[in-house]
Amino acid sequence: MQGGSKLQVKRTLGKAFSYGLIALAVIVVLLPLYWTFSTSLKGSKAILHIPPELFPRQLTFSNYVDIFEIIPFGALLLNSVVVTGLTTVISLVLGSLAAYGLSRYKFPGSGSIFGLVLGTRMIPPVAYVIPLYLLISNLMLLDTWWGLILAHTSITLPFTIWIMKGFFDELPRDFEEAAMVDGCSRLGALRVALRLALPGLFVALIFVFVESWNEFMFAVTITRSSASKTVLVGLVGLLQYPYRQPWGELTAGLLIYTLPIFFIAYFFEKYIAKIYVLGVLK
Amino acid sequence: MKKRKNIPSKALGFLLALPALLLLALVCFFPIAQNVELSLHSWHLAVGAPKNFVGLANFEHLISSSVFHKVLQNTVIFTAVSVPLELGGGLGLAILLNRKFKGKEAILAILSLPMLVAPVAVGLVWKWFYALDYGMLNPLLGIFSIGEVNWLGDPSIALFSVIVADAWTMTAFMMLFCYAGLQMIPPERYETASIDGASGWQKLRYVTLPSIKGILIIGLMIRSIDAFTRLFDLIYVLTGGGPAWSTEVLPIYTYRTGLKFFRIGMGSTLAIFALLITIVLISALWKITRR
Repeated sequence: MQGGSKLQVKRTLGKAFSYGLIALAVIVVLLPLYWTFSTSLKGSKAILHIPPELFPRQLTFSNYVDIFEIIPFGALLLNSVVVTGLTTVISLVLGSLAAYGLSRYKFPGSGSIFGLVLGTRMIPPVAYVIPLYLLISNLMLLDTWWGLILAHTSITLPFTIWIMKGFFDELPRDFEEAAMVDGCSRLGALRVALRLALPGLFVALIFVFVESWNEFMFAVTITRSSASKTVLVGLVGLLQYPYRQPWGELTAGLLIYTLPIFFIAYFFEKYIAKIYVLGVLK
Repeated sequence: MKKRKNIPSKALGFLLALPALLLLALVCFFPIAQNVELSLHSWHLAVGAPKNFVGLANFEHLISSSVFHKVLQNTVIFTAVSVPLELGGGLGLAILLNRKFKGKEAILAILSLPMLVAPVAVGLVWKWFYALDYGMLNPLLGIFSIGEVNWLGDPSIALFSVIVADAWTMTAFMMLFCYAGLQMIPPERYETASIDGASGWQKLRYVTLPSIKGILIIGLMIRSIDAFTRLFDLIYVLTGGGPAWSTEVLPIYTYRTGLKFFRIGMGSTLAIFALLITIVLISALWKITRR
């Protein structure tokens, strides 16, 4: 009896300890985010108060309005949406077509082509950003949506091909063959396969969206004016704002921009694990 | 699978792949190859100087450059400290979370959040968190009577501060990675260990860790490649490579050389270094995973 209760105490203590550690991790993750959020709700005087107010005394939403005035936030948001949207469409369309071709038809060199695509996925963007800048400049696409979209596809297209090929490879061919027996054309068979691979398309969609939405190095290289600048480039530019660093407006803009990411983290947590973790293990 | 009449021609497969391949050739294969040509030239674009062939002079210059040595040293320190830190933290969290309890999904979502936020946004968040006088970290540490620290302005501390911000985001990656690995362990192994009377620690030591050793090594390699060649956004915002070169690492140095000071030839030479390091690490990873 005695030994049993001792073991129980030990177990309870162990449990409390591990929950304590998890709670600590949650706090560490949330602290900088809390600071960002609380700053976005402070007036400019409260932000520059020394010592800093850990809990804002007066709440204001003015930063969420002012961010649209100190930079053309609406225009930048449009740029981000257009660039991410078109990058996503182009990557998914071209990527799944290529994946289908590489998965279903073995033609001379198809293996090495796929190897090349796989290799591209691992190459860091900084290894080709300089020649890519020269190329975009020669194409007269600096400071345009299309210049940045081209750059983004260099990251997102290899991933889409790779993940979609994985999905097509696992798809039994029976359905497509049945469709073709029923008189469908080869492209009809492709349509059947695409419908069956919808979960794969969805995974690719989330990944491509997050990559393009979050991308900064190409954006800061290629975009200049509010004609093409993305939100992140505009917000980083605020650090050079004359006379003060407008942290209230900056944090407000940052939180607006990150809303879709919060949404994805909350609703598609399981997909995230699949994309970033199992993807690597395959 | 046997060839059948209605299995379409090889040409169609190639045609389907062609648009994507052409686009990739334009924006990726071609630029990567062009690095080689550019690295053999001296080309100061900013001052409008002509492009001069200099052979391997850029490489020779880098090998003897003390700044480049400092950059490599910073990159190695960053990788050697941040990656094990993230692996340790991630593995610990994954083990703690690898059981059933209420609200686990929500906690997993919160803990993986930093990984999804744009790295440059993470940089901005931490720049403000670290800020002297107006930031939150110093007053917070003041509660434990730790004095003011100039987190990003002190050359002996700045790299450490960058590592902490990086660990904040990338521990989440390692956690998900290890968590997936833990879930793949067949439960029978634990049952056998229980029958043999193993304690919690013994199970961890003799069942859990050996079972996910392979995954841990892969995670370590992947994060090392990233740490060595992709650390750009965070540094761009937090320190810009300073103060006094203390946070200048390979990706940001490559970028600044080529696209801020427009020394195109030297920048491309650095890019080739980054490329070579990536290839070496990837082939090591390839060997490990094929085993």
